[in-house]
Amino acid sequence: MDNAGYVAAGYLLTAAVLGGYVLRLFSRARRARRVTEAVVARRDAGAGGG
Amino acid sequence: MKIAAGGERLMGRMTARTGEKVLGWASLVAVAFTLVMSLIVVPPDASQGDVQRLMYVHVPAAWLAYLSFFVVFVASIAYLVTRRIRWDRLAAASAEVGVLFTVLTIGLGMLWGKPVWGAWWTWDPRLTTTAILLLLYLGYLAVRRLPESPARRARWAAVIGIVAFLDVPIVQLSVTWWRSLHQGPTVRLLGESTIAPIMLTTLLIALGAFTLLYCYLLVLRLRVGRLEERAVAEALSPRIGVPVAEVVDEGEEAVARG
Amino acid sequence: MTLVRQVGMIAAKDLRIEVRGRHAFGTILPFAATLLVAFGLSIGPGRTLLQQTAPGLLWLAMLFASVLAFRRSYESEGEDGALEGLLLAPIDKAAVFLGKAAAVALQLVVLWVALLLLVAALFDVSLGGDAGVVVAACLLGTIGLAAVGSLFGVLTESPRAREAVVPLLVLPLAVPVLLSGVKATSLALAGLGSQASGWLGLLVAFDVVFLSAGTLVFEHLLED
Repeated sequence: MDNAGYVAAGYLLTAAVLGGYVLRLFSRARRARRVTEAVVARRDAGAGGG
Repeated sequence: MKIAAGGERLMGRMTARTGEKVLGWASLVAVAFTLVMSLIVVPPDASQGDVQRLMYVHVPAAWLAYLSFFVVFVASIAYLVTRRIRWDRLAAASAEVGVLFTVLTIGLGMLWGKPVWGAWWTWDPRLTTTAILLLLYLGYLAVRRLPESPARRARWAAVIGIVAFLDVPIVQLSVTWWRSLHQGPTVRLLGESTIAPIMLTTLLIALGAFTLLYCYLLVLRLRVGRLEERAVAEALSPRIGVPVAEVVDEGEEAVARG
Repeated sequence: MTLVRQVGMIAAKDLRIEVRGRHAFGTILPFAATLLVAFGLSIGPGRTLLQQTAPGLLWLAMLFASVLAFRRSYESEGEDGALEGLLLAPIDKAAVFLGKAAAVALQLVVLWVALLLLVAALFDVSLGGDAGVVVAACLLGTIGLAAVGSLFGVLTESPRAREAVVPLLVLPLAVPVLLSGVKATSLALAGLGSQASGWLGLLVAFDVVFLSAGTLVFEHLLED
């Protein structure tokens, strides 16, 4: 790997790590919201029916 | 009365969300500007050549790694003193982001070191200390995942957050002395005693941009934490029709009391 | 009762349990010895290399064995609710921390001496040199380890933490002790004890920081 390769690898690593983390946080947020909705829906449906 | 209070809380949440978005876009712009400066505007280094450009990502990453754990340190003390769960949440978020930046620092340090030193790892004191920092905070995160009561976990984590940070300067000192006993590669990564103005400017821009990014990641992570806590609270709550916000806050007070 | 009296009382209690049960030394010393033999097998049998690595291996074995000692120190509390009893008694929480640290330190000193003799035999290390510095390194290092262990030993109440978390925490924290202890010991054994003052100073700093910080935060670990 010549010098430019190391620089490219470094910057790409930075982008991948930080960008990947942001994306992961977004998906965690989405999933938490979905779980909340599902739990609430199931519980309220149960209450309405029972 | 309750509707007004609820509305106020909702407003708070929305502004936080808007603030988060602003922070996000601002960081993106700042980082993009840094990229332009560091990759295009700045000339290659006299001795190290283009590889020296890694300084503009490695140094900010290192700065943020240590800043994150300083935040964990302060938040841990605040939690033990006040017992308000918001400090525990801040510590957890900052530790997670901090581990990220620490890994990045080590990776970038190795990528910078290989062409300059000829080896991936030379037990450079700063990198070695950063590696130990990583191990310390992986331990911290492991304690946060222990199957204990949330209050106990938070207290244990806070103690570790404090003690680990106090240890870091001692580790740094000991590793530096230890390393100086051997005449290893004497080329420091940040070799220049005098740094060209354009490089200094770019470095400062990079530091600022990454700090902005850290703030964004922190705010985002805090929101994710709240959402995940809400999901757990809903799953545990037996009370139908009670607004979730109330449930979460009750939980917070219970934890703070206990 | 003054703090010193309380500390002494708790240390004496722990040591009495250890002497009567001989649990720690029945298992910890053999474990450390096994480590040394394993080190010797994996590095040796070349004499030069073994002699050079001897101080490092000594302190490594100490480090791993001390984690067992911390666990032992709190295990004796976990059974039959003794820890709760301690918490309810009108004793300064700091005294519990310092007392346990003192007891563990004493055990570690005995362990260290035994390992030193073992290392001298297995790795052909002559026990000449600056005895004073060797003793200082031993004492200061074991105090440092004991301070860390007395603090994190509380975590061994959690079964999951007992397995891997405590070692994961203790080893990086104890790096200054490892580095300073090894360097000071090897300099002392080579008769260059005067050069070890910096390392001994570092050990003192480590001990002061951890004993004081531990005293301040210990009570937060105990609450349930």
